Amino acid sequence: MVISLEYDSEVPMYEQLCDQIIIGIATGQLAEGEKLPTVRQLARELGINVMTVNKAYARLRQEGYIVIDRRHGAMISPRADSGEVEQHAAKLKRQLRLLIAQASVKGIGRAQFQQLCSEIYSQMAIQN
Amino acid sequence: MAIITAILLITALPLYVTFLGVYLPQSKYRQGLLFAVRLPEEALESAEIRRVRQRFNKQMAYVAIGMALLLAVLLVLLHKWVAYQMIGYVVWMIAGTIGMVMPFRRAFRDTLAAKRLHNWYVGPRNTVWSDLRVAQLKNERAAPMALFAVPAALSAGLIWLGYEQGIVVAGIAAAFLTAVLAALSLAVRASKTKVYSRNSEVNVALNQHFRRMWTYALWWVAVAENVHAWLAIRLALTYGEDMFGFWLTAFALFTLLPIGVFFYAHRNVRRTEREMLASDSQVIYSDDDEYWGNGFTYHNPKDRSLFVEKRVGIGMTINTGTLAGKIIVGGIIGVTVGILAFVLFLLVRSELTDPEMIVTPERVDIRYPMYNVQFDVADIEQLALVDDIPSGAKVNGEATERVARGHFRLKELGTSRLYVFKNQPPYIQIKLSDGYIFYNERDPQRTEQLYEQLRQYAASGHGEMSSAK
Repeated sequence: MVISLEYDSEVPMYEQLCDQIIIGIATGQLAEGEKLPTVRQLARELGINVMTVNKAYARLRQEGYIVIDRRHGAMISPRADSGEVEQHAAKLKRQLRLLIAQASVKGIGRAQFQQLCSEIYSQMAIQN
Repeated sequence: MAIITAILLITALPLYVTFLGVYLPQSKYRQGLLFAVRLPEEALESAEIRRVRQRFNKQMAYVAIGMALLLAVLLVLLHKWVAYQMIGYVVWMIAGTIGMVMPFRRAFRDTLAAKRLHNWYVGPRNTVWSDLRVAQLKNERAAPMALFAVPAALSAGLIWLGYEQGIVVAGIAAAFLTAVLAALSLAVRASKTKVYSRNSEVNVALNQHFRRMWTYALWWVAVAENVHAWLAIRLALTYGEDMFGFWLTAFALFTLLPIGVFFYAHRNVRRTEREMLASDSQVIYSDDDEYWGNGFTYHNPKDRSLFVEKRVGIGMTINTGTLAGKIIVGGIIGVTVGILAFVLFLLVRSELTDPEMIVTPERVDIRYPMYNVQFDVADIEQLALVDDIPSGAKVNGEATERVARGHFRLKELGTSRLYVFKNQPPYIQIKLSDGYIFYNERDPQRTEQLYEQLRQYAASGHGEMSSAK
């Protein structure tokens, strides 16, 4: 999958990298068990600091999107099992509450919010 | 035979052709680039861009014709004075480089200005791209570094062969070149990959192809340069003989070979890119014009990679935005200027100074910068005035149409020191325990006087010494 990082974005580099890898998994561009480049390889390719990539990988691992193995390096985690889904749903609820609050303060109503959600779903062609 | 003129011509022609080959096609719109500026196709229709192209073509025509005339004048008029011919050649090279680059630089700037004015941006700016699969697989099809053991072994053989024949320089040069080419091969492997498309398969295929072509091209050139060095040794050993022309031709052909190999690799890579991308619907364009100063130098402090693929010309260029890049580029410029200045200084000095022989009843002193020699009159084993010097090859020193000075290997006589004006016989031939010395003055009468003086001193020193005329 293709990664693109913007130099002068407000979003930090490591966050851009994390976000794109998560979207890549969701859209099927990165398959379950697919290997990722090593921290060093990717840092060299992108021309960015090793620590930046390291930070991104550490966060992805912590959140369960990738597994890092001493021998095989980083790879995409298997899809979540039912226990994790429950756990994540609770976290998502918290995040959505904030997002919906922000949206309504800025004048985006329920219908428009739901409309936006379904648009994004169809654009990304989310794989189940 | 005007060997120097021939050698200058042999090296000047590829340079000339390469320059034209690199810069002339820049006025054609290829793969989204015109004068190394990324432009949308509709921009080509504008009057400004048309003017820039017309002016560039006209200027290039003048430069091309002017440089050719200048070279001809230089080689024909100055062929008697090697030092001035060499200086002229260096000036020609510098003037040619500037002359060929200037029209391009101007066209590049004007095109970039027009682009900014009309907002002809293509794709996102300030963005760095990478393909996760390419990052892992980029070198899978590249030439293994172990292959460089072959040219390295050849170099070792050449050094050994050269050692036997007294010409080690060629082997050492071959070993050095092999090391440089191996380092370049490593640089190609380590270089940044390119993202052509959203389709990973296309990216993997094109990046692997690029690395495969260039690493093998570098390897082949390393092998060829070792053969080239072997030809140089053959050439030196057959100096002045019947086969000389044959070896010179072979040597000259091998000078052109690397250019051919690199050109082939470049064309092949570009053709494959065109073909694969023509049928791809997800091609990615990104706009990094602002990091290309002058259109051909890359300066991007945000990018940590040292080597990037060139936009103009063939191969890779160095990112001067990195510290290592600054050091390398500065070093290359410094060393080149230093070597050129030093060589030209030596050449001019030798053109302006002649060797001088000072004879006293006890000692003989031949003075010539870097090739001084002193010995006792009593050490002379044999002294003669001869009309011919056997043919041979230069080991270290100067050999031009006019003079031969320094260390030589002569037929039958072996290692010798020469301080002679060619075709101005007679020559004083002195045999010492470690080889021969030949000396003459520009004026034959002076040579004869010196010889007479030497002969008297030598005869009074020890009676049994043989001398002959």
